[in-house]
Amino acid sequence: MIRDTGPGTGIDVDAVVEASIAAGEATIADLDTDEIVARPPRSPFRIAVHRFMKHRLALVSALVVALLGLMAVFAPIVAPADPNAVDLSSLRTAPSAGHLLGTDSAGRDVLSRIIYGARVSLTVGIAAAISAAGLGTVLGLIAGFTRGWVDTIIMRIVDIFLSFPSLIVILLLVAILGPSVSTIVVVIALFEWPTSCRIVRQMTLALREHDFVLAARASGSSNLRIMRRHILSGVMSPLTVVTTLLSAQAILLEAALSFLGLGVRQPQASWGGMLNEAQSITVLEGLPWLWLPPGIAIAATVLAINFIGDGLRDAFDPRQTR
Amino acid sequence: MLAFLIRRIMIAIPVLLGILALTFILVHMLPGDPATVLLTPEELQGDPDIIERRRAELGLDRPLPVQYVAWLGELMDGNLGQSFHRKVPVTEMIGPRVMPTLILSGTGMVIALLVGVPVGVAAALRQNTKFDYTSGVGSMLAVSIPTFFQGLIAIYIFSIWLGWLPSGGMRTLGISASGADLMKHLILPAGVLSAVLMGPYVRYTRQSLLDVLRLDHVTTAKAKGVPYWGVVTKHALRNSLIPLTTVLAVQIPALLAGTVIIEFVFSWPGMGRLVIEGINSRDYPVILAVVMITAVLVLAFNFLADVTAAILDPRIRL
Repeated sequence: MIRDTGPGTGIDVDAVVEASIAAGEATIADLDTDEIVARPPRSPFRIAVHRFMKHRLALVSALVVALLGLMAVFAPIVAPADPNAVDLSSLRTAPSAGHLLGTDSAGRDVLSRIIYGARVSLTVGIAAAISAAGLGTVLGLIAGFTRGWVDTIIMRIVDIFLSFPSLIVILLLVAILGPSVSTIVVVIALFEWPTSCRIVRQMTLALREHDFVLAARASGSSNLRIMRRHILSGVMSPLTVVTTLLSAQAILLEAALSFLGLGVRQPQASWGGMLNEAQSITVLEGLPWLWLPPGIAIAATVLAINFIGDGLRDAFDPRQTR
Repeated sequence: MLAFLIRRIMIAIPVLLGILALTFILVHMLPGDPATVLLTPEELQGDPDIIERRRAELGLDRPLPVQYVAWLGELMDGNLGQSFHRKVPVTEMIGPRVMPTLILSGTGMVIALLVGVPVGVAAALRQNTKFDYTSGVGSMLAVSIPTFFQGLIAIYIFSIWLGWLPSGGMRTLGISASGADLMKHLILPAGVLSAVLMGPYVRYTRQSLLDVLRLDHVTTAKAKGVPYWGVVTKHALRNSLIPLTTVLAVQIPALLAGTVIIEFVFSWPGMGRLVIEGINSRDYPVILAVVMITAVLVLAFNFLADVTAAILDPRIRL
């Protein structure tokens, strides 16, 4: 029970799983008593949505992320200037009416680069998290459903991957394979799937003992159908939480890679890459508009996503009644 | 207990072999032919067959599984390979970097524990108060702000703006090494590292204590009139801290990742900085050696943590 925590991800596997298992039971119990009299019966999904809406921090965060997403999609319209337009006549100028956040060492508009940088961060965050969660879900379902030696092998592979310091291996692989958004996504997914695999496996182990699985089998459902139709739907809620938290993790990893000069290649704008320039004391001391905005952008995005994850966890957790 | 130990070792052995196999695969993914790396241009020019002979000499013409076993043998002898860049054994390059990293990560972890655990306990005891929310948001902030950004802000505030602390390095050049000087250089990097680690400690301690406080034996203790602090310290806290031993071990990869970035930002001469230098000079064997050492360390710490937890909590042994 205790070892089921993903290193460094800050994802509490047990809490997620317990909450989700409890959610299924408690919502039914709730409906039996007062609720059914007081209001029309609501589905667990509706209850979760209702709880999430009450979580103010998560709601605001969802709004922030939605705005960021719109900003990234419509970057060409939103951005005041071309992010890659070099202007040698105005290098490192302070923020002004013409350049709201100033210009960088190549005379490029910092604000426009921040807006375009959202594209890289969000793409990596979403793509890596979904790939990692997808891989983890498939393996976790197989492990939990078949049990036996297949389970043992998959879980040992999980242990092996969790032992590696993912940042260093990712650094190494990106250095060998060459930095590009797709490489970064693949490599992050390759080393971040074990967390979701553990959660899905644990949920599957619990769910497969339920009577509805027995009923499905009795009525002739194949294993594949049971997994897809009955187990997967039960796994969905903790998986959503974990995928959310994984995307925050992936954004941080991409930022760290770009900061170390191994991420997205210049001139493409990325937040971590913009901070890469702040390594000299002169920039740090005299040109705060070069490094503060991208840093704040990363922190705000990751914070918002983490709050959404927290809100989702609470929404699926019946023990928390706020 | 013996059965538990044997079972745990049976799990650890395939994982260890798996870690080594994965490292071996990574070695083979490295660009550059090891056969040519240690040859001088003259040797390559003079003799066309030298590469083939060299391959045979190094055993590179044998099948991969055989090479893997041979490579394992080399590891046993403490041979972690040759640096591409400096042409010296990797162990020679890593050796002097171990101590600085241990100092930095050890200090960071101790600070994080000394602050994080009490804050987590306080947050659990005052659940749903302002203090609880503040510490929750605070630990969320600490894990959400990128480590390198925290480092840059710390340098900006304490080195540039206030001028209190040095912005990097492990000691001031020109004066002899002293404990006080080391301390001054250690405060910022260790502080940032502890901030990164503290968030999870606060959250786990809080959650774990809340879980235990809900248990029947705590209610019983309260009911029979044990003073509040007695209940908290004797009945709840001791139990709730057992999972923390595991959290500490599981956090080691995060600790190392944090150390890599912090050593880079603060020019700390440790293993993390060696990794970055290795990547910049394409010196892959060095990085790979560090990766492997840390993976094995993580495995060892996980093992120790499980054994410790089993000693503290007999139920785990089952």
